[in-house]
Amino acid sequence: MTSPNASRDDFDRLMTQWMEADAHAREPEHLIDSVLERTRAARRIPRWLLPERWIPVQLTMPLRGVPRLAPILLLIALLLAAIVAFVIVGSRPRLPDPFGLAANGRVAFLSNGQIHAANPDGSNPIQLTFGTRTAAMPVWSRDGTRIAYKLISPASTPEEPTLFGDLIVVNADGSNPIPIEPETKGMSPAVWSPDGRWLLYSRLEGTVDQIYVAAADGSSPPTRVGNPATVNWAPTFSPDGTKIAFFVQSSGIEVMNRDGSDIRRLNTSAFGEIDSAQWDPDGNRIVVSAATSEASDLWFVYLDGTPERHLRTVGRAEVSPSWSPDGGRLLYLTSTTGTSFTLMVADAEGTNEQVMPGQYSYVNPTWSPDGSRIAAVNDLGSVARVTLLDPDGVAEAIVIEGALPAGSLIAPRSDIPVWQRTAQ
Amino acid sequence: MQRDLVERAMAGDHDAFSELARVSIGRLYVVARLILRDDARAEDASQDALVAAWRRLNGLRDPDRFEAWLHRLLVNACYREARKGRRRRSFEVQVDALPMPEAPDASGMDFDLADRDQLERGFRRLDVDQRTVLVMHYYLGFSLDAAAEVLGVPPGTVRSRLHRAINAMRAALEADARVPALNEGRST
Repeated sequence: MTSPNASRDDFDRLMTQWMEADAHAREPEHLIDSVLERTRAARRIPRWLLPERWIPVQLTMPLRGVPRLAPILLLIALLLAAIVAFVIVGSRPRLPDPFGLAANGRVAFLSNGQIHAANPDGSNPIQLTFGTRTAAMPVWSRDGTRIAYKLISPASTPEEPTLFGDLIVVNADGSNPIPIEPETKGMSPAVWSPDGRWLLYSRLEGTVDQIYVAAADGSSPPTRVGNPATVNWAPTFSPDGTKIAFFVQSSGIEVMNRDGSDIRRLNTSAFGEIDSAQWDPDGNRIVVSAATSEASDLWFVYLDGTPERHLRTVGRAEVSPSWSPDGGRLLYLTSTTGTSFTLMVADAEGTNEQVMPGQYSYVNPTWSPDGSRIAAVNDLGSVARVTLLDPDGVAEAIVIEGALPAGSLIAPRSDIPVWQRTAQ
Repeated sequence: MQRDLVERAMAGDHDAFSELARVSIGRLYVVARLILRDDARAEDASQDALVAAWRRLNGLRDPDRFEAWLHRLLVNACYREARKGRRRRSFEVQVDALPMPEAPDASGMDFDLADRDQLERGFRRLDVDQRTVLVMHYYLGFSLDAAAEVLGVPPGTVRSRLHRAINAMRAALEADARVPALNEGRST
């Protein structure tokens, strides 16, 4: 019966029958209870920390750089070529103010597991990082002179390929790499202080997310700030760099001074999972996308104790809010299905919303530093489209198409400039 | 119905996830058991896959792909358990055979208990990659494209992996068949 000389049909039938006969076992009764007990206690991994949001990965494969790169390179080349139509090439030595409008500088992108930067017209591409280890999460400093990134560690697992990594800072031309902290676990994308002196991030300490502030020149070790008894993550600096807003155990948003003192809860309503938050450029309020019993909605939370304002909508979710660089407009995604999103631009109070044409993915849309364009992504199909929209709806939208592996990053969180800011 | 549950679970509704877990856990356990050939490890793998699903639901782009995505998490969990198994192996000692679970009714099957043992021994000789692709092909009935999506490799890789797995299984059966013949030769 199990003769190795059996025909392929016989072998196929035998294998099928054997497996079906062997599959009669029932799972232990306690198993579902164990699963539900563990999941009730487990914190959801924030969308922006999932590896597929940062680098194209095959989760079952060991880390060997980034596979299937040709489509990414093609897409990036197309993106850079299109941006030149409206972007001013920034090469002046003067530095931009840390917040507000700035000229569009160079574009940083990931290719072949390394960080590159090129002029917006695609010219003068320079590879900034080298080696066999994969780089991820590039973040320009607010003055555009340096980049912080995560260098993925071999200690990461195939299931979580970006779990461990070193935090590194390099100059805009890739020179002078400075190790900031080695072997961080579950690190959030680094956030630069407006003056460029500090880096802010959360990382796992054991199984608890904690917030750290590190000197961007590596001159002092990272310092933990905030309450070590709570789960604190996704920190961001206020525009003046004196305060830090962060999420607490997926239910609240809190603020503290840069040294960790004076911790205050900003929301009084019960928030479910918080999607994202961004400071208003004037520093007086934060726009938050947080789940309620109905759906994810936008909220304005205020630093002066004013009760939060709920921008409630019926039957749809609002996520990924982002202020324009001048603070005059608010950009966000809406959805009634959870898969396809509409891009909305409203005034600074969230009113007079305008529907932008097209449908997009749940990938944060990005303002250009000069505020003249919005980059939005649709990568639900096998062909990704990056659309560069005029928020005024005057200039024609530029659509860039390119084959893209599912899960690739085009535009990361809107508060992480992929486009370098330079002086106007 | 499932899409609605997945969307609710993606939005953080644990009750919806619980329902999905209850529907899925039996099949996950069976698949893990087929791959790992070990009840305890299958239990760990199916549990880890569901916990990972809850933690990583934000990364799911299309709710209609939940099943394939969940299988991918399960395969990852099985690989992890298999690696643990390799580390444990050096500490294994021979123990008395455990009582066999009640065998299902094999009427209508083309094999008997001896064949079943032979298949079991042959299958255990395969590595976890080969076992996984055979389970996907013969038990789950996945197409090459579907298996490729779950494994995160191109369909061509699945095809060659399946081909090698079938050859390896046949070779294992052949080697197993030789043993009684050799024993017979020694006894005469």
